[in-house]
Amino acid sequence: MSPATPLSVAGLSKAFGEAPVLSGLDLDVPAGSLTAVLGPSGCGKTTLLRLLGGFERADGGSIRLGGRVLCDARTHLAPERRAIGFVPQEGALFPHLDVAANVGFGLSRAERRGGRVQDLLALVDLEGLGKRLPHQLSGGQQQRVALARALAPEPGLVLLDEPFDALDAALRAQVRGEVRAALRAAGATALLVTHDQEEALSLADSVAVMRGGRIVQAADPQTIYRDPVDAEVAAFVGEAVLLEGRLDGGYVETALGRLRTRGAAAADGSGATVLLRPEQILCQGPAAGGPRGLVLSTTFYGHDATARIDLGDPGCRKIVARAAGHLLPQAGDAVSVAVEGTALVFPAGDDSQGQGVERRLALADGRRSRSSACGRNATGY
Amino acid sequence: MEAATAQRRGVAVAPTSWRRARRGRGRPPLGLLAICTAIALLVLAPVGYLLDQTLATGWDEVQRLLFREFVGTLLVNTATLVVAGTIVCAVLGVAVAWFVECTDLPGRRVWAVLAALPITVPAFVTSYSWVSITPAVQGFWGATGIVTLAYYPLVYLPVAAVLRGTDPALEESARSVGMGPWRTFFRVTLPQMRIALLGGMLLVAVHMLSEYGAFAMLRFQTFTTAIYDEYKLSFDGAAASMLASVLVLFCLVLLVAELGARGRGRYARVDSGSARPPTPARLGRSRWGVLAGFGGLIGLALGLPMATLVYWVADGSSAGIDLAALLAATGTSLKLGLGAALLTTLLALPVSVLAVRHPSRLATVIERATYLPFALPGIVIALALIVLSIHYLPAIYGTTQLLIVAYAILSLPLALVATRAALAQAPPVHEEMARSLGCGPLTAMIRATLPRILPGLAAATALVFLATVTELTATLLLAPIGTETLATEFWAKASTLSYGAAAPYAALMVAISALPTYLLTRRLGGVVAPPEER
Repeated sequence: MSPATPLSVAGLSKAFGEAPVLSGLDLDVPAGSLTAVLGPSGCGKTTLLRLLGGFERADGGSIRLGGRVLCDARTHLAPERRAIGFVPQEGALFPHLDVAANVGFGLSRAERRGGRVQDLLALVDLEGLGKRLPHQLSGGQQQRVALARALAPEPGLVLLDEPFDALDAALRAQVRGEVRAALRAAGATALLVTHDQEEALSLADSVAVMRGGRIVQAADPQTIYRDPVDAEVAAFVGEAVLLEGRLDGGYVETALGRLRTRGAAAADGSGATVLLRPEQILCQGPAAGGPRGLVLSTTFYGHDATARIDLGDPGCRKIVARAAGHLLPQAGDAVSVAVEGTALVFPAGDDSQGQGVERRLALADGRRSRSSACGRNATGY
Repeated sequence: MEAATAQRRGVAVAPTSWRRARRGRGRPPLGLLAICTAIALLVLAPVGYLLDQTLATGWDEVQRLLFREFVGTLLVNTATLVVAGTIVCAVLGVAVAWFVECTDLPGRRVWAVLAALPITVPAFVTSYSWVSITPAVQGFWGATGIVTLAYYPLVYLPVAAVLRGTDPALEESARSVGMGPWRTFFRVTLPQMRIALLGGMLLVAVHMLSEYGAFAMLRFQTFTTAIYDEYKLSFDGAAASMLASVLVLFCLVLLVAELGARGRGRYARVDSGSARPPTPARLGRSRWGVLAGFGGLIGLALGLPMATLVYWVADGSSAGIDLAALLAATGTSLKLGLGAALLTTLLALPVSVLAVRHPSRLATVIERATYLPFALPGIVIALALIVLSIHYLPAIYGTTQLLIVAYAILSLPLALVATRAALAQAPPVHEEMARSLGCGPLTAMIRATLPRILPGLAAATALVFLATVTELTATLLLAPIGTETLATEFWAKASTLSYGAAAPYAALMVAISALPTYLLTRRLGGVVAPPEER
């Protein structure tokens, strides 16, 4: 339906007063794809969207949509002339208009009469609800109306600002699926920002990890998870086990034994930081051979579980292993540990960064649990 | 990986707030800025010109006009009246608010409405009813008592609004750490209402400084009555301007004093309300005494003026009413009120858009400037407009247009409070959505925001209408020859002691202002408490 258009952002920068928010951000979104910009709160995601939408002026850099320049050193196209649809966090439906009028807001009178509104409502699976007022809809329905409203004028690009954040967990997965299906059906190019790595990995064709006002890695979800560019990205997109190691001809020596490597090669004998994912680490009976460890604690999630294991090696941090829920060892159990698959290595010197990562992650976690209260309040409100 | 997700899901992250992201960044469009600057100048110019003229008269002239025994008397009269009246209003207003909101007073919902009603009767009508019964109320004590009865709702309404919104948990925790009820009131409840109380007291004080009709009727001389007399009797523009400048000084002192007393009291701002209704304090047997007090208060503040009015209407109609004159005055009042209401709301809209949507230091300065007339007596604005128009625009002197401009300047703050609050509740994200859907800035405003702020605009219009219909001082000074409103006709008759002939005008005035008041009652608590926003 929509004329899918590629988006190209180059060197985009923006500062508020003294504080730089975006510093030379580059991003390419292929036509018709769904790209997720993933980053922690406060990394500049919302600012990026506001610059794309034309609600703020960039300090430098350029934005191109298809063949058109939306913004560069000389140009700043007004929001209404950009043909970019927007789905904000809480939907922001016009409360004084019914669903049909909301969806038809960006259409001409003739288009509104022509059945386009009904088509769009069908697209987001809300036929027959045109006469409802926004407050009579559930949160997920409101989000879908907001999407239909954004898609109505056939924009070249649709922006979604953490659109599932205000929904409760049970509803979120379902609405995600519906939104993705509607975007696919409309064939629109879409850019979604989120701080939720699961959302980014499961929903998007491509994930761009944002940090400190720039994109540090953009790739398909598997690559982002499997081959992150550095330890910090690794820890941000999923739980990471980071070990010190010493390279040795395609292998690395670690507290978990000699592991096959992939990723940046360096001179043999040099130090390296090794990334494993918890699901690569298998807990076996103590008799199975391999490095021994003591289970410190376990966390049960239902479908699976994790165990924190102390390897008793002073040079090695505690590691986390994941197992199916019914195979979980008990705290205090002695286990032996095996590693499946290959290990990703980062060049030496990354080790100090590794520790920095842990600190930063701890900070991020603290921020998260504090802000979760706000999140609930916001939802309640 | 699924588990890691679950983990993350459990701790939902707060949404990066769209609203926070845009605070303080909007670059105001130049057109809007120009319009708002023009409005601020319109509001400030007359008073600025008046002060400038006064300063230009020279020190000898200042000495001759100000250092007189007469001015000394005015100073003492005005100061004692303002201090005494404000304190009594504060005590009365807080007591009424507390009994109505925080106790099990029988019939408290009815009392809550009745206690607010005296605000709908203009003070000059209240004093007229008292004077028509007995001349004994003339003088300082009568003046203080009667304006107190007329103005205490200015304290009661904002304080009651705060008490309604206060989290009862605060008082409960004070009690739980061993404070008695009285200590709790003074240490916890009173600080909570401090800003509202100070704001209300400022309003009372400013009203006392501005009031002309009531004090003239009660034969008590203040600066305002003296300014009027100097101007009307001797047409001595210089003397009147001089006294008006002193009055402006008085107002500035009050403003600064209120700001100082308010201090860093921001904490008293209450969130969107408490989760559960407070448990009212039990009055026990003392409630009969309180009930008697409420009965007496309402009787004196509302019952007696109304009864007198009814009596004089009956008395006057037996002598025959000039129906044609009454209708003509009503028509004029309605027309002027409506015109002023529309113009003022129109002026308030761009200023509040600037203040709410494009906050900046300049926007704050402009907004504050337009609030200033709130603290300036109507007589000062009227006098300033007269002086200014005679010097520069003699063509508009003595026209209806000038009168309506005076009304607009005087009541702009009222309209601003209402439109500002309405705009603040209509988040900018809707306008941005409209922009992203292809609307230009103005269309986005009209299609996305206007429908949401219509109730606020209606409230603004009603407030201004109310203030205009009962306005006396500026109308007396500025009304074109032959233009008689309900207020001026009433005044002409009442000041010649034709109480019966005056009554129908007062009754109609009260009746006309009753409708917008009724529409506003639910909002009034918030609307009459502008100091927080100033």
